[in-house]
Amino acid sequence: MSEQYIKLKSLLLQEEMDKIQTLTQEIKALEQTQEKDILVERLSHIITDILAKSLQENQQKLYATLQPLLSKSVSDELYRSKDLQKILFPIITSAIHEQVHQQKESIVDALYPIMGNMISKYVSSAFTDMMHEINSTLQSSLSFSRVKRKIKSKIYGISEAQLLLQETDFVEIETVFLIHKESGLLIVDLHKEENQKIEEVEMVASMLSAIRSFVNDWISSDKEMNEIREIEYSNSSITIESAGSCYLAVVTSNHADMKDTLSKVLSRVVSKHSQELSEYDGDTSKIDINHIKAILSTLFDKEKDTTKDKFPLLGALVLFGLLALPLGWYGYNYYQEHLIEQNEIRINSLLKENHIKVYDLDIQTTKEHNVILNGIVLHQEDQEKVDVVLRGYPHTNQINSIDSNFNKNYRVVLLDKLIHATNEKYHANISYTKYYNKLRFTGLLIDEEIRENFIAQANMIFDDEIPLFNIEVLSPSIKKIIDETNKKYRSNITYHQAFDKVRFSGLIIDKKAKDTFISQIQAEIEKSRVINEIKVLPPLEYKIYFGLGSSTVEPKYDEILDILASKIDKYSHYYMKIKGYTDDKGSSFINKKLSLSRANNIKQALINRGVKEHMIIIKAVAKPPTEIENIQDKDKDKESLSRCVMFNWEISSER
Amino acid sequence: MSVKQKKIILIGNFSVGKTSLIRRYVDNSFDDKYISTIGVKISKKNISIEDEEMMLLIWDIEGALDKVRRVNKTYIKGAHAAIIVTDITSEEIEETITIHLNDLYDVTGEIPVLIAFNKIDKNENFQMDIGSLQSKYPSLLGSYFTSAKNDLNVNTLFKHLSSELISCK
Repeated sequence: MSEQYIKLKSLLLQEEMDKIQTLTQEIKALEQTQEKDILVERLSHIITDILAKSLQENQQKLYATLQPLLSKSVSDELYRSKDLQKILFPIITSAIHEQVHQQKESIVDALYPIMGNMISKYVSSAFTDMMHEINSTLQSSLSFSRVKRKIKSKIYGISEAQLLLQETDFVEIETVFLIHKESGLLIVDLHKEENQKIEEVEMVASMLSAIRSFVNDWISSDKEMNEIREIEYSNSSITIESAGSCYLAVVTSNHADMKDTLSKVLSRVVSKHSQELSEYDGDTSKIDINHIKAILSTLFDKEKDTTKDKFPLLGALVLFGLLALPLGWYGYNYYQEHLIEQNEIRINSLLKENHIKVYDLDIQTTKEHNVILNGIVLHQEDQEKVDVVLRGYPHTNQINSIDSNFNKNYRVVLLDKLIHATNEKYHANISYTKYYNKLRFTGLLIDEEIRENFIAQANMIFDDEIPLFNIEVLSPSIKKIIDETNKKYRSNITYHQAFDKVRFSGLIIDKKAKDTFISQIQAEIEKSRVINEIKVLPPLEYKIYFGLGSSTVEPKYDEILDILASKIDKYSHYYMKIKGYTDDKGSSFINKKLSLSRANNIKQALINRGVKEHMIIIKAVAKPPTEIENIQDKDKDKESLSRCVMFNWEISSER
Repeated sequence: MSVKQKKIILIGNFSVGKTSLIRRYVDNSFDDKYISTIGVKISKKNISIEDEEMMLLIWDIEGALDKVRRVNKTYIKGAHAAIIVTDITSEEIEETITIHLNDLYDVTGEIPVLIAFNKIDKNENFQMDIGSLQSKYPSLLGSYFTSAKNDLNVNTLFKHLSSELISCK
């Protein structure tokens, strides 16, 4: 079987077997000759395929295998080969540029913790060095300022170095402008160096004001007193400090918080020149410019002050001995000043807590620690209240109330007060506008007396100026008409101004009287301006009937009598007239007695209901009422209708 | 003697020629191109009237677009005098003037005002009576028919206003 198979195999595969044998011999020959180059040459064609297959099938394993080798290799190569650096660096730089351009925020976020710490460390180190330097300078130098600073340091518990830092002014002020707030007109300009003066300063002031107005009006949305504080450009900045009618704009060559310094200087200017500044109309001759300049120039002095403390060490030591005593005195005074300052703060807060508004409050403390208060309050009560509030403080109250002081500053306040009170009282519409240096009043007042009274009071306020008055008077005789009507009809008509109209109200006896009054008023003032709210007394259209020859009041009239009693009570300034009537039959003498008896019985019935006797007037008529007499209807029982009493209102009790 | 500064404002609708009037007055020049003023432009002119030296700071305020988008009152504050400029070819001139006068007086109170009926070169027969406005607004001093292009009445306009400022100091 096996022989047959071998035979068959050799017959069928002889050719292939020969080839295999040849190949085997060739491989063996290759191995023996070690022709590696040939092998590499041959394998290199398939190595990429092997790697690709391996990467596809087991990526992680391939990485793990190659990574240590590759890292080391790249690292060695980077360190060793300058060529690789040259190749990689432009690529990295370009990549960073692109990343910054594309995702600036994420780059900043990524770097911020590192950079922030670096800057912080650097600044902290620089500060430490500086503080060391300052402290050593402090220890090795001596001056008035140092002693003052030392005492201040003890009082406030702040280190001397910190105080020195506060005092040190690193700001270089180039230019100072004082500008009128509303008009933007320049009031004063001061320059560090005259030859470096800014040109067209008036234009700069105006433009700055326009910018300031723009920012304040468009950016600040709430109603608080927000202000633009600083405009920065490169290393320069314009710092703005604003008061009521003017503002300071200071150009500095570097940025620094100058708020306190500017605020102090500006408050000095304003406290001395507030009136002139608020009325500034572009004419500097009306202002004490030199004084304002003197105050503002201290801003430049402050700069120079930084050099003042430089005392030579030796000189300072000698001086120290000489100055020990005065310094002690100075320290004591400083402490006293501190106490006074605290005292003033306390007084201010007491006044504030008690809602006492004192204008131009000036507190001075004498050596004996007596406090002298000066200022203006609006009301006398406030002036007295000051004494109550400051009971615990030995003080002299020299505060004036506005009524006793017509200081120009407060005229406007007083005028506003007068206008407000007048408008409130008379429901009027007086207002005023400023026309140059005069005032134009407009509005309407109800009568000449009120108008004259108002003008007299306004003239008291403006005793040296003549205001322009343009106040209309509704009617000079309106009050007279009302007085006469009220007297004549016992009415209680009153009138009130309602802006440009007059409202008449009250009660008058009857329609006729009302019509007479209204026609008189309309002859004086336009019909459209009259608001007629006058009411007429309700007519007493009641009748109480009696039987033939009788004056007995029947119980069925009790209700009417109750109503009549309440009416008399309600309209007590009028009188009720009771008129007794009879039919026209029989003796007029008897009829007269009968009608009187009827009226009297009603009167008594009303008195029984609490009506006072003097409020009732009696009239007896021995005939039917006129209205019954005039009845033409034959069906009506005129006689029984005639036996009655009727009622009406009377102005006077005269019969 | 100190130079008195005065703030004069020019208000009016957009494109009526406020900037051109100021340019004619301050630089004596005119340009046909229209460039809209944004916000405010300030010019300065030194003058001498009745032996008084005066510096006019002329605020050229961005024009009102319509009845709702009016002149920014911020820039009106503190003005000593005003010129209301109108374009004679526009409509509703009197109503426009009244709106501007009210806006102005709301802020400044009564100050001297002149009206410039501008671009009179476009219609030399144009007539307008401001009598009724003057009776309502006493500080409305008068009006001028002006042309910045032909230099008509521009100097007179500013001179009148400046004289008023001198007389009411």
